[in-house]
Amino acid sequence: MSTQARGLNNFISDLRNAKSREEESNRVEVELAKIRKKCNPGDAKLAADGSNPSLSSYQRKKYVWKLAYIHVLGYEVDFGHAEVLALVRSKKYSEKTVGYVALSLLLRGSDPVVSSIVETMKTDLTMAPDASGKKKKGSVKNDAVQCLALCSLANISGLELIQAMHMEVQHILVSKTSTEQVKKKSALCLLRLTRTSPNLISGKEFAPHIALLLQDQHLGVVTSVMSLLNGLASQQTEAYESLIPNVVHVLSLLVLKKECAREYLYYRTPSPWLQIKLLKFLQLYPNAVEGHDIGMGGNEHVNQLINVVSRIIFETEVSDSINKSNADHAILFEAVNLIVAWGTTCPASMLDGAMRILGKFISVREPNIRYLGLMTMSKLAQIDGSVEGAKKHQATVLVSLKDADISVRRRALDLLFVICDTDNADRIVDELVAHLVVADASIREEMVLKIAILAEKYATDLRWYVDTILKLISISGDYVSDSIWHRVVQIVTNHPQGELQSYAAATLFVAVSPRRCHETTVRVAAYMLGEFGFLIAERPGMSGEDQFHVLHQHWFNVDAKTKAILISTYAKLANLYEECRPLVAPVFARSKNSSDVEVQQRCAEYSSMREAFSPEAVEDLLREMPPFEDKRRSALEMRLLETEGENSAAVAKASTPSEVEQQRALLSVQMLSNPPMEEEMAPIDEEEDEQDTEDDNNNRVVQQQAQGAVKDDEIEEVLENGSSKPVAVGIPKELIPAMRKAFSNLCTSPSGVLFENSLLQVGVKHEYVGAQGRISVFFGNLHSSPLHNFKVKVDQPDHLRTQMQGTQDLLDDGESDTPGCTVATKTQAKLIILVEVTAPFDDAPSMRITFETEQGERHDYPLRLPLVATCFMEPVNLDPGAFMQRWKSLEGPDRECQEVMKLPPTSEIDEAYMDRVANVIINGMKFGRCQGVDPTPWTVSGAATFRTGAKDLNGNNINVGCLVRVEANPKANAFRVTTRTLHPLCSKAIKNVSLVSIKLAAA
Amino acid sequence: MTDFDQDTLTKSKATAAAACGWNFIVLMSRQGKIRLSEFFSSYTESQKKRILRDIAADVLPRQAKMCNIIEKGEYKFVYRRYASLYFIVGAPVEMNELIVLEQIHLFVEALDGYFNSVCELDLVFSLHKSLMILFEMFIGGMLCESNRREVLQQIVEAEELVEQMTKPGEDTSSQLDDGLSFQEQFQLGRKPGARGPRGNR
Repeated sequence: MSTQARGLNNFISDLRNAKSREEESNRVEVELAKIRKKCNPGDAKLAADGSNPSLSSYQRKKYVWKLAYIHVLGYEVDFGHAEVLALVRSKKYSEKTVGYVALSLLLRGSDPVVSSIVETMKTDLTMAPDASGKKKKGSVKNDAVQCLALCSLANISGLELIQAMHMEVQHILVSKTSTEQVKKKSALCLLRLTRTSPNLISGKEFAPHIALLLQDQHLGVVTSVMSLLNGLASQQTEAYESLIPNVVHVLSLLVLKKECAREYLYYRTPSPWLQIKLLKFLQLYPNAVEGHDIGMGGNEHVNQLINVVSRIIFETEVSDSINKSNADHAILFEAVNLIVAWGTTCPASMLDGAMRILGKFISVREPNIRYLGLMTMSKLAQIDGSVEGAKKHQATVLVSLKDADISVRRRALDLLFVICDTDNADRIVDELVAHLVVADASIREEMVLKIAILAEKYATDLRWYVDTILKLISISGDYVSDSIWHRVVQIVTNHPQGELQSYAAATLFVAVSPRRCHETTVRVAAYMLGEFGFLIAERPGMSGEDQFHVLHQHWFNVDAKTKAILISTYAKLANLYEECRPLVAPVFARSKNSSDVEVQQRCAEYSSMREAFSPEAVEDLLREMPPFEDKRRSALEMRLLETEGENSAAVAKASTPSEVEQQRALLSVQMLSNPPMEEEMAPIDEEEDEQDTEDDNNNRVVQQQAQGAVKDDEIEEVLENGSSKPVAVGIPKELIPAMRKAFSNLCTSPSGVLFENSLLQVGVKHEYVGAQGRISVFFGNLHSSPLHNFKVKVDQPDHLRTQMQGTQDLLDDGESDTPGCTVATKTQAKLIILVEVTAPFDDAPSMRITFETEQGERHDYPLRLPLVATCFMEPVNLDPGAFMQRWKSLEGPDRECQEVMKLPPTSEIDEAYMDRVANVIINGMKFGRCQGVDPTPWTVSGAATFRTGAKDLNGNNINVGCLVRVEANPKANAFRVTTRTLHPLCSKAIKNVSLVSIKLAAA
Repeated sequence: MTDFDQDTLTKSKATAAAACGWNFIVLMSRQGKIRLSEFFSSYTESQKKRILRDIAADVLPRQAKMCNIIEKGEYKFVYRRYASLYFIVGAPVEMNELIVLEQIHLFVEALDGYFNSVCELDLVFSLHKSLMILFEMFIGGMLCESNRREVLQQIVEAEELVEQMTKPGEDTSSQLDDGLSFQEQFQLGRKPGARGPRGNR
């Protein structure tokens, strides 16, 4: 055939004859060049709209069709738009129709040239059909042009067009004069417009129009209107809830009465398209049938709806015709989706029925039905109480896992994942692992990820979990992502109970022993032996030296990342076992020059560590890693989320912790919460406390950083990303001011509340005689459920002799692993502490409260008991002369303590305030007031004896005399507190208590 | 359940109901040649190329006994094969797969009615007719009319309209090439709408 194609037909023939894709695209290029030249010849002047006026109507249509043709074949067409628009603007229907089709194909609403067409489209759209109806021909024409414009508008959409025309489209849809053709097209057009720019339409006003349109006799109109309704209702669900009865009515006509025009029967099924849309609409209202069984009056449509759905579920017959079967099953699956949306609010018989039918579907040969059966069953199985029904089909699902079709395999895997729980985890995980051996590459990664999650979730014995992951690595190590093995490390580290850690170390020792093993195995083994190798070092053949050798045999086959982990492990081994040092040193020496920066740095740091730091610091750095912080979502779940999206059934399942997991978490939290408390408790009083907690945090960070340097960075990253959420819930920041106040108040009053939040109230009552005191602490549960593992640990400083007695198991002596007691709701646990003070002191003993709520949330509150030096004062009444004499005798930096406190502008020093200050000094701090030295109301002076239970050489109790003087300066709005005692700690303690008490008295 | 969860839940349900239209339809021969393609949703040129490549890679090699659905993340391919021609629809995940299959069949039946037992050649040479039928049945990817007779009647009426409005002797718009009539050129001797009603005439 001639390459000089002169027409569309020739062009098409040429393309058909093209032997290859290249030949075809060459031919297309030639044609495009030709058309481009025709559209813009260069010499001829173009019309105002950019089209070439010298083209005849015939030529223009021909070229536009060619462009459309080329576009439809998948080639890019980026010119000729002016010709398309010229056709649309034409008055001739024959040109318009070509123009509009080409417009739909070639242009999108965002295209700037579209704006030049707005007016034409608007005219076409609003061209009213002849109302007089004088000539049928005329009205047909207008009708047809209107349809063309609507269809194009829907196809190209675009903000500018929408703004210009949505009112017209809306009007056309509801207008009584519009024909059915126009109505159904305008409905879909409007839907397309609202989807591009939501909230064009107010649901409240539009719902009645929709209700009217749903009564249309023309099923095509009803179908289109239902599409529109679904689109609108998904944007403003509540606004269209009132239409449920209308929709149910239409549905029941189709399903129960089979009322449907003959043309709309599809293989004898009444318009399956419409049925699907109606059922989709109902899925938007999951509470529609709630309370159906209580027989709430006036809900006839609810009963009708349940009838309809039951009819679909229970009476759909299997047909031989593939088309009828597909249509009927489409409706059936949609009905099951509706049941899923209702969940437990629909009759149980329906849930059971749906599960039974799906059970049948997943065992049929027909691949589409089986595929959809598997998919729908995993949705249904997630409804409370339905998983048991699904579990019965486990064996059938396993068959589909081996299907030749990847789509079916994926669904089967997904369903297995959903129905897996503690009962069947062993079987399912083992089956999955067995299948992994033969599974092809396209599904392996997904399988590995899911197996890892299931094994972790439902392991009743974590050793099984460790074994499973090792199997995964050995079967398909390349698909085991870093996050999977990091997770193993995390879990083993966080579960010190049982033999898990030594088991993991021993197992990995064996796994890494052969000369050939997967690099991931080497990584896990290196990490585990570094951490827990010492637990198995006593076993025969597993000494530190052996551990080094089995690891080091892989040294030359692994990449830099693995080497970096190995190096850290070597450093730890060398630290523990003398005999390893000469083995490790040459490795470090050699790798100091490694081209990999990480390897280089680690070697250099480890080998010079001993010179740079004290032995204690080195010891600290090479100690085992602290437990990892728990995260809301593990890295594996995040991965699953990435691959499957938020709506996946699997993701929903993975993120809810299983029972076993919860128990495990509880156990290990207990284990981990009991280690010797190295950290200072956060003190509650004085200004220092914030700083102190900060210091604590800093210490921890420093410790972590130090360890981080010797750890695999990625693990560290896992830890860092693990959010700032601590292992347990502490005291929220906003409670601290109130707590500080409560504490200060209690220092000078015999009873009160020390701490209170929504769960717990801690009350204190304390009384003192001389050097001895009796403190009762009450722990009241304010929560609606019991608090478990309730434990209290009270610091026993040297300066206090204490005796404690409390509710059984309440006390934590820091040695044995008491589980703690349970405080039932609205009850109290009680602790009585008897103390005798033996030396001056200036801080308050700490008391740490830990417990867990019913939900497994762990709380940890570091508090302080209001047990301060002033509690042990005995008032001394001195005359002014004696007071001044002693005051003078106690001069000196060691004996005097002074501080000026400026009050906030909100408080004002007046006589009433001074009275309160005097009162707190006398009654609260138990000082004897020395009125004579206070000539003005602006000073308060007092004296007391601090009694201790310690004996001096003569067998007398040691007492310390204390003097205090508070001076107010109302003008400066400040107080000056001066204390003088024989003991610096006493001076300081009294000054501190005085300051906080004075501050408190301001209120 | 937290407020947030509730929110995302309703949102996902909402998109499920809104998704009732095709994203695209592609007709591809077994050799990988495109016979028709229309993208209802907005895609960039590179996205389109990718989709076409994916179709060739994922759909064409599948065996007959496999299911007709392939998940592709945000959307899925639902396809049907007629002789050597594949009809592939890109549908949102939430859309009912079986009904998409039957919608494809409905389209094929309409083509069949118009071309009187359609074959690949008809589609190749009368692409514009197929497109008009497609646009008459599906607007913005959503099914507009399932009544085949009504669809064909509309097409035939439009054709008549074109003929009526053309004065004799004028550059005839129904002739696209070399003096051959519309039908002669594209229907290869068949009358359009032979099976369908011919309107009032």
